[in-house]
Amino acid sequence: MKIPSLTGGLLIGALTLPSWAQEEVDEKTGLVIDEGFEIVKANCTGCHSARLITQNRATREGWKETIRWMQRTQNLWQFDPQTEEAILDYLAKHYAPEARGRRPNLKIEKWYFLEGEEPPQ
Amino acid sequence: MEQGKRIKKGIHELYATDPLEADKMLWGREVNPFTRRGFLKKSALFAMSAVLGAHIPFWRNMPGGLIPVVLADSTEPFQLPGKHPDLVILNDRPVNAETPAHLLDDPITPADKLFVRNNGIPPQDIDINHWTLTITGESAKKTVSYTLEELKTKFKNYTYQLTLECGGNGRSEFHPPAPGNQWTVGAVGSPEWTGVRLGEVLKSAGIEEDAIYIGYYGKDTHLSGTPHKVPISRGVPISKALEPHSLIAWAINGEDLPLLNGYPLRLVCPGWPASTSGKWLEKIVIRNQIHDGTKMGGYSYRVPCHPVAPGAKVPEEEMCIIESMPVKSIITSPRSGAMLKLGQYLKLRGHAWAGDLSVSAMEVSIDFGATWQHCSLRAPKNPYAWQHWETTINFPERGYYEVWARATDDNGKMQPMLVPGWNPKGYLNNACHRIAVKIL
Repeated sequence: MKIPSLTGGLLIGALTLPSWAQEEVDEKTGLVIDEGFEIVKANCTGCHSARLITQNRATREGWKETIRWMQRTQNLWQFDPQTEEAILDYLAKHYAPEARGRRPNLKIEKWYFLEGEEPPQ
Repeated sequence: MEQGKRIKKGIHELYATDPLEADKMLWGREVNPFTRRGFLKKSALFAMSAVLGAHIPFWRNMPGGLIPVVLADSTEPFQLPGKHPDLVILNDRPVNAETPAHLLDDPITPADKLFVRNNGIPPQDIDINHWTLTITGESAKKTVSYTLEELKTKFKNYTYQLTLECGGNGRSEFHPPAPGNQWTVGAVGSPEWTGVRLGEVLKSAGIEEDAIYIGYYGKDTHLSGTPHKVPISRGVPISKALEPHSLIAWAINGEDLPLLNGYPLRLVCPGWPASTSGKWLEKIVIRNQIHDGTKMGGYSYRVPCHPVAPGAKVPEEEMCIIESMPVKSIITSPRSGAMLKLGQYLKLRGHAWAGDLSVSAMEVSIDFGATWQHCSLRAPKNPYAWQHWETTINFPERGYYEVWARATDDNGKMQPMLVPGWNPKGYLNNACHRIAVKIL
């Protein structure tokens, strides 16, 4: 895995960043570049956007179920066992669920000043 | 700019996989197979020019399937035709885009701010003069067909403000994660729709005694490119179809439907998952059984009949079809992230809706649900229109606050503060909306 150059200050921050932030991402698809990337790109993005992969998170079993569903209902072809293993390895490694509570903290895009109302007289 | 990058990838990917198809889908540009020159209809040229922010002087010579260089080298947000540039594009094939909460501030949702949830590829080369709607099915007494003109003139026209919400709105908060488009809060809108009553059109074909359901078919095509494979075909019980507010609609806010929202004709079954409101509508079947079209069975638009633990495996026969959507509200002003001086008051406003019901009370909390303040709440313009609420609050001391909003329906059910019952496909998250505010 290639780690982009980071300044000292950023490196400390990087420890708390989600895993994808340190991974090299393909410009065109948004998929993490790692072993299995080409196979996933070739077999998945023919029918649907790679965004359907990158915005989702699932366990290996969950990804396998998604593949079975696509084979059952969406005309996805059957894979040879080796190809399927490679796809599942890749997805389970890079698009696995992150541990999280019942409601995550709010993400604030940007803080801005707002002129409020004066207190009632 | 995370969003800019994401969107840029979208258009690159679209063109990388099938440039000619991308041209057709985004701009309606047809390509001459011999010269490979793009043929742009006037409307397509307009859409493309609008996105580029400039007229294209040499458009006649522009090769088909060529990504316009201005877009290719730009990180400017890429815009869907007919849609507000700040819609968040979750997926580009099929197109799925949601509206940030602060853009839903209008009392009546403008067409360009209505979310897009497509399952397939919208139809191309729409000829409205030859567009027909057919009513048929085993429980129709006869098969009838109407042109658009006949629909508009043979039946009485109605205009209602009707709320539509995607069944998966809020899916991104479920854990373990549910597969599908990771909607946050903006897969909802409440525009004014003009059309004819679905019930009156069904009755014109004659409804047999044994009719229990309807199903729709649209002209969109399957993502896999397989001809005659249906991307989605859902429906509602006949009782819902016969309600006066279930429409066959051709206009939003007095104008043609946007292509991505079903132009030229769609169903609107308000208060139910928006997937029951079929787009690019060409056929309705009256059924003597629960409609068995694509995405009616299995886990699609179904939730466990009984509550289950997060991540549970639920057998298919334990899944029940979603009907009315649950009570919900959003804060549309201010936008999350506002900073105010201590002592100033904050005006808040938003909307609330409750599926087939209406909203009877609206409250906000700035202390994580410990105490609640009542808001003023207006009656809906008509049944199924969302209701507007507003209030003014002040903050006791400096620091970080979250404003939470909670609606109560007229059966007394409230929005939960936590994410409600986990389900395999992540539907029906109606946890209260939250925004962040800092007092300086």
